[in-house]
Amino acid sequence: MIPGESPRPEGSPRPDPLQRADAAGSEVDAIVVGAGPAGSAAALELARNGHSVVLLERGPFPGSKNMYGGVIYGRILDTLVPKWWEEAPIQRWVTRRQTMMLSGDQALTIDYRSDRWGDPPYNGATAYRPDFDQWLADKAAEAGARVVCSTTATGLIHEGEQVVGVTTDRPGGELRAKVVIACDGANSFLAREAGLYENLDPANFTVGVKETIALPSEVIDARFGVRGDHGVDIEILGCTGGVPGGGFVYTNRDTVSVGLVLSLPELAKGDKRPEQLLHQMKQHAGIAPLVEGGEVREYSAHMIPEGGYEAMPELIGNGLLVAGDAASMCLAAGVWLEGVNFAIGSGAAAGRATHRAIQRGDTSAEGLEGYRTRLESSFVLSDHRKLREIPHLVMGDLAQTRLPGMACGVAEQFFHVDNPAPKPGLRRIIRSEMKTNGVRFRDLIRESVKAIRGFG
Amino acid sequence: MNPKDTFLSPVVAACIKWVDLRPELDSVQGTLAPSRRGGGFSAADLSAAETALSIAEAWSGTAVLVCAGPANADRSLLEVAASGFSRTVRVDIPGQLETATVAELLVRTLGQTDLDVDLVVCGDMSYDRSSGAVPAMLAHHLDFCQALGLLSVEPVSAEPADDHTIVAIRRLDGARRERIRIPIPAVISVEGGIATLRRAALDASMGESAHTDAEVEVRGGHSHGESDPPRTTPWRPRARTLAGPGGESAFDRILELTGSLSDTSPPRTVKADPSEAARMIMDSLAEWGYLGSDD
Ligand SMILES: Cc1cc2nc3c(=O)[nH]c(=O)nc-3n(C[C@H](O)[C@H](O)[C@H](O)COP(=O)(O)OP(=O)(O)OC[C@H]3O[C@@H](n4cnc5c(N)ncnc54)[C@H](O)[C@@H]3O)c2cc1C
Repeated sequence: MIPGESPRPEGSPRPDPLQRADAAGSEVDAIVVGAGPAGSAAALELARNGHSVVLLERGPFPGSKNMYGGVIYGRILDTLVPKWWEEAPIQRWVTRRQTMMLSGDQALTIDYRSDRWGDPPYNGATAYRPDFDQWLADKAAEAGARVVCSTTATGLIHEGEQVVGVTTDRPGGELRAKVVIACDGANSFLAREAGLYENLDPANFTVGVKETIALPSEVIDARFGVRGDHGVDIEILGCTGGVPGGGFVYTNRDTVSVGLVLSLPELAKGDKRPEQLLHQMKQHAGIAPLVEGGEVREYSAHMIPEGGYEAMPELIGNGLLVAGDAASMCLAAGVWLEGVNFAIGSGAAAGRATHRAIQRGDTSAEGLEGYRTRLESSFVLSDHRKLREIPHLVMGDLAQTRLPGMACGVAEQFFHVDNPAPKPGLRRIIRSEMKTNGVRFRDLIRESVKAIRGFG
Repeated sequence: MNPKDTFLSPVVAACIKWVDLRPELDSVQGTLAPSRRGGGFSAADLSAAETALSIAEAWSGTAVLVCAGPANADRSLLEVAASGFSRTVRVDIPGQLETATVAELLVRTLGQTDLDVDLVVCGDMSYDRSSGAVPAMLAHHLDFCQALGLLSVEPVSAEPADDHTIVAIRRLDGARRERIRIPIPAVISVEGGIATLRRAALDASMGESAHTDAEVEVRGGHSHGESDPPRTTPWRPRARTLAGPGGESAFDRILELTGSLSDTSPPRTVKADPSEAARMIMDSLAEWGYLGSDD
């Protein structure tokens, strides 16, 4: 995609024509690799600040290679694209959030809804990534970034210690820049090449699989209890057949996204296949009525860096920054699976830090140190630091297998009417369910303390 | 034929059509509705683009890209153009039009003197289940010779340049193939598998190449909203009417269908000049009963 000379947003500085001429000699201020949310946010910030920036994307258009569950938390966009909700390609506004625990044929759901989330400035929204990523990349293009698609960055160019550009898979494919921002997603090839990841542990990754199932929008409204452009976000525990992970169901306008997130090492053992597990989850009595009769339109899979704070690489090199999933910044903390907002937040911070470094004429690791400061002072690193224990807790045996069984068992006994026998006391029910599900009091206390500390 | 006076630098036009790559198919009605998600060019059209570039290179000519499509084709078009086309022209066609209308609109552009096209290379089919007849119609309107559905294309340079020809292979019925020599000016169409469009150089993809004018020239096509009525009938391959076999019993009918036990004249190879060969073909067709008495 080659952007036209579209009008620039009001009040933003005009790109320096000299820098643009520079670009013609294949030397630009910054190269951003990957037109996902992180890359487009970085390119947008840089272009708005008048820099020549090339945004490289290996897919035929931004978003073409990207998938996720389906919910974007757009608050971080407020500063980048004011009133973004008036133009972003949104499917539905999430007004209802549920956390569901499945066990056997049982399901226990905590359900929260607020119609206020269906009005500006909104909270979460469902969107298709090919639409959303393209929209955000278009914003960068409108601001003056060059978005070059169907082009894969194949390596870094070094001059001494300094990264000075990238090689690509196109003929004549070397491109030089003062700073390279790696936003190339999970398992970042560029960050690894630069030696920023000390060790990549497969245990820090999950595989997400998803089906997009078409249903008429009135059917979705009726089944999920919403109207108009309001939608539902359901996070699910206990639906992964013993493989650590979780599930989700999200509503789009006339499709439903149903998926699982599964531990990579556990899947690698090879006795369970993701599509089988997804099929099983769709058969569960808690899920089947939501999706039955729909037509599967898409099946997709993608890796998620779930390790959180502990699994992040060095974020800064000489002439190089890493943002978004490339830096393992996806927040996967049980009830939260947020990656897009963290990608946008970190991408924008990388753009701003690069702008400052170029202004000061120092794009060494030291000159780019502002990136870390910006991240530390924003939600990106503070949330990750605060919630650093949570990914392990959520992927642990207790949360994965025993807790959903125990919670469903307690609910069953509590709500079951067994007259003429009198109602059992809650304490007795909990004790018996703990025993049935192999939950030791000690473990429960220990994990609860960790959770209270972890969630802050 | 409309041979030009000079062929100093032949102009080879790749003529392609922007289509919806992921149309929604109504499985009951068989109708296609545009998905508005991911338009682009068919494999055959991309193969035509590469073929045009290679021929232009071999003849030291220029390659131009002519596309039938709406304004939102421009992005994909510029990506193809970055592979080495010196000019990019889009004939503005907003929606689904009848084949004849598309051909006429393209001819208006291809026939313009500023393009001065010597060879038009098309794909043999697009993905939108159209009739596939545009190349033949172009040849007809431009008064160029035509060779369609080619499997290989080899440009042959000659002195003087107006003697350039193309040696090509095309399919015949019964899995046979024929090798033909095509003089220019001509319209050819190629199958999707015969060539893969080369990767554009990075600077061309960035719209910075000195050789590429990264602009799409838009030529008048249909005015917006003036598209032909949408096709509502399901798509089916064109049917051929065959008479049923005669015969009293099933056995007789099978014998007639398969031609077993009937007298057949063995194939023979003849060598003849074109007019003699044409006469022999007509004689044989008449002998076999394919031509009526007044044909
Ligand atoms: C199943 C699943 C469910 C999820 N659910 C949610 C959710 O509901 N909400 C949420 O906020 N997050 C969710 N996420 C996480 C979210 O998708 C990611 O955190 C987010 O996409 C990260 O954005 P990014 O820009 O860093 O990387 P990506 O979106 O992965 O973008 C990277 C881009 O770089 C390109 N690229 C890669 N390598 C190269 C190269 N060498 N050269 C050129 N281009 C390259 C890719 O094609 C891609 O476009 C989910 C993820 C998965 C897999």
